[in-house]
Amino acid sequence: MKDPLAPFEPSTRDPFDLAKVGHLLRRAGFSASLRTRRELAAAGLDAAMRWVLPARDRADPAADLLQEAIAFGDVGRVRAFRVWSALQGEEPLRDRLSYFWHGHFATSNRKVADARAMALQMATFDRCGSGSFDELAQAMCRDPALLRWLDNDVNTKAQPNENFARELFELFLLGRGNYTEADVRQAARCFTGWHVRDGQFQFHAHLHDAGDKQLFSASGALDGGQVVELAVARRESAEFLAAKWLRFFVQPEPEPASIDALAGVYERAGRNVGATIETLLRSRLFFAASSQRSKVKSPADFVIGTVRSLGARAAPTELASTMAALGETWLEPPSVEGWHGERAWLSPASWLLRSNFVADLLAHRRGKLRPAPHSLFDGLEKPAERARAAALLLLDGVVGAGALAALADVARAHEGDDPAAAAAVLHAAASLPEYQLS
Amino acid sequence: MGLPDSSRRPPALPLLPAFWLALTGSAAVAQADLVALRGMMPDEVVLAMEVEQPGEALRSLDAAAGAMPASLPAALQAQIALGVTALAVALGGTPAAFADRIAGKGAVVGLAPAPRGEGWLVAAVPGDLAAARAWCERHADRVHCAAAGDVLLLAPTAARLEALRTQAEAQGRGSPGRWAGVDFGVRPSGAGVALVRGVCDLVSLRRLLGAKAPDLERLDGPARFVLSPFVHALAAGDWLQFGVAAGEQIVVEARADASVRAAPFGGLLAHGAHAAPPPIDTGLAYASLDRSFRSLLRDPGRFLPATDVLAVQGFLSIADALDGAQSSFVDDLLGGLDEPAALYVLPAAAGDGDGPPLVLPGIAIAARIADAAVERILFRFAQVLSTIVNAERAQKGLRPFLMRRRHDETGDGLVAEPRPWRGPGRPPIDSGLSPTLWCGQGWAVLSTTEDAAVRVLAHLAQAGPAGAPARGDVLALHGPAIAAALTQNRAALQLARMLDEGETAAAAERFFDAAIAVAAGLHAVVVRAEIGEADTTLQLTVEVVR
Repeated sequence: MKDPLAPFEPSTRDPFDLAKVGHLLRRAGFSASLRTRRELAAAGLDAAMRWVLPARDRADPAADLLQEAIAFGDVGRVRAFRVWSALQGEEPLRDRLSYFWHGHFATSNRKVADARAMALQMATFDRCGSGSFDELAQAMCRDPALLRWLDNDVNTKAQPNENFARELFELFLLGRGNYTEADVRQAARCFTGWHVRDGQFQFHAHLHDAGDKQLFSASGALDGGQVVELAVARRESAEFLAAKWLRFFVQPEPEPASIDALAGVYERAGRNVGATIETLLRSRLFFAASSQRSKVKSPADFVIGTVRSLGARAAPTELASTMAALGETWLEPPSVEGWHGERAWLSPASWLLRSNFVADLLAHRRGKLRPAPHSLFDGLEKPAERARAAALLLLDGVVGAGALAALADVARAHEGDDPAAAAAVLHAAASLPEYQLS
Repeated sequence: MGLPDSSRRPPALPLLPAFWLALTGSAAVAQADLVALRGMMPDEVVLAMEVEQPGEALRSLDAAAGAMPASLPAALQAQIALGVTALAVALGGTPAAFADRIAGKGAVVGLAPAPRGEGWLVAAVPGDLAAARAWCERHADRVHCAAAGDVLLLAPTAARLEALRTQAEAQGRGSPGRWAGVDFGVRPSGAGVALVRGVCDLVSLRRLLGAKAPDLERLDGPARFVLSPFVHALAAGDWLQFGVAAGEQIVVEARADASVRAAPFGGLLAHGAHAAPPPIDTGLAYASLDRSFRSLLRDPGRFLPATDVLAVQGFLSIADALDGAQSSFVDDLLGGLDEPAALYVLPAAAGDGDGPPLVLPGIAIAARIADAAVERILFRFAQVLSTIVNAERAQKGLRPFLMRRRHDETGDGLVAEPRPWRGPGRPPIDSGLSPTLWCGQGWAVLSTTEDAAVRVLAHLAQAGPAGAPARGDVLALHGPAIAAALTQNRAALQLARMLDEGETAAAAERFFDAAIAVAAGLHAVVVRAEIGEADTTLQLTVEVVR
């Protein structure tokens, strides 16, 4: 492929079909109902992109609700609200990018112990996550949760603490090997006095090292904001972020040429995240067969995606606790590196938990599932019809002959109009290896 | 002479005119002899209800229920209106007009065990013979009808109708069924006309339910404490009489011919020296149970399942130690208070500015002081408890309560004040709490807020001398106050519904629009229970806002 990011152009040979729509909605959101997928497949690629992209200049409809969730001071409430937001799915790519940034600027409430700060951090991702990365990075360096998580609220001139500066370079802006220990020490000095008081960012000038520093190619009385400006402008930052986006949106092991191409797009777009991701999502690379079903679904993808694929509603509090049991507790990543993902999500135990979750969901043991699953099979009586319907609902119809035959066998063994018969076939589809992949 | 049979479907139609001729050939139909209609019920009927004037009953209920609240969401009003219209079309008129036609001069309805809702039986004297005829013909596929003199017999299946007809014939020959001799005694008090009266054969019902029959042994500890009189009445009684009346209020009353008073669980009744603290008009809710918490804790093994006994013993081991072994929780603290106590739920006091996301109502428990020495024990207890609570809050990084002693003309109080909130954001929920113990004028009040304690004590001080000992339970709910509390907390409750049920924001909003409208339309819902020497009575009163 000469240009890895050349745009995908639907044709009769390679149409924008249900499989591609499903792939787009899983990667750029948390999936969607079969009805929505069919409508978007019929409407075309541009319409589908408009559906997933965040609307510009639109006030967040859930802003008041977020304030209510914050007001309880309970991180469980905030977590459930984030799940609710992803389930409602009015801005799929915005939610998806917030999810990405949550794993990127990984901050855990276990140490922060401030539900309000965590909620406001997520709100920052919602607000800035698909715009200018410069703006996002500047906001994160003043984020109370992040500062407290990485001990910068005790970083003073008299006793500098390098933790924040080190993770900023290694994990957030540049990546390993793209900075030196001297850079870390200088950056730590720049961030002295950048503290948190009463849950808000506060600059304590008397604790700040206002002396001259040397960082990268710049020198002078640099402060934290200037550290960010210098770091994000470096080519290494673009390549570091491009690699992460490719791993998150496309393939677990991207080609160097793809990374280089996406970094170039990012820089030409003025470091605008939304524009960069849109180019990526429109590319032939994204829609290539090698990219589809190439990533292991995270617990969030599996849990939220299953409910959305069924076109149903379920209790966010229940779904959040299931995600936690599967190893992904939102607002409490295991470390500053976030969740490692991919194969780490799968084990014999987690496979069983996933299967049990779907069984419980279909039997209304995880809160009421509406509409009821058996209504999805209305008018379909033959086992082969039900097997195809289950494959369409959960797998966009892309399933091997052997797997389809197995689903038909299950349908044959559970004939009848009762909810249990429908649940059996859907459960079997959700237990297929293919379904564990996005 | 055999009765004409109209239960068969067409082509048995030629017989129908004969049936109707038999009916119309009789003299002008008199008001039903309800005892005779009862006597037509087969013995397998488990529950029988009689209605003297079904049409009037429905009209009275409709008038008592009042109009649909105007504040109900428009979409819901439209749905209800559509349902009412559909029902009217199915019945060929309003339910009251239908009842007038089919059973205008009286009816008895029986329920017998049967699958799929096929257990109902009706013996009625129609108000409009021609209309009853037409209706039976139109619905011959779902309702089987036959005549017994002036009486129209209805049943869901031919077999059921046959059983009803056989008994009706026996009644006609002077051998009425057992239901003719049953006492349909209850006429609900405090309302207008008794609309419906009925009796349930508890012995037969228990036999039918088998292992699912009411049984105190299957309840957990808290359920036993609250429900033992009622479960015992259903488990030991022979008959349950009930009635519905409507005037300014709708009243439903039920009486079982058994009382827990003579049974082992009768030891849970309070046997207090005085009546319960009286209810307050301005609250959301009031409750008083004629139970003795003291008796329960003194002898938990007598009343509770084994696991709950362990829990009680664990609780008492801590409670007894809280006063540093100076007193016993049960004998000295509870023993110094009269029973029963009363629970009050009061609207939260209005706050300044942006309050917590959930404004909790004030909840207070009040009891008469039987021994003045209990005041010191109560205050010591409260101080130790508040110290423990503050230590736990400090461990969790929460702000402690500030303890303040108060004194005024009403008595002495110990108030746990929250520290003023300085932000950021809205204050937490517990900033609306100020747990308070207040003793004065012969009363002890423990509440979640100082405001609630002061208001309850002021009310009790004005209440006058204590009345006769209580012999029952009271639960009262005041709809407009509940509606105001729901409105005050609407945003938080809507969010809870979204997160716990998965509803959209719009659906959650519609739910609370409806809930608030319904609550605002109910002036009061009161449940009273009286536990007599040999019977147990439960009365539900509903009064709407006019």
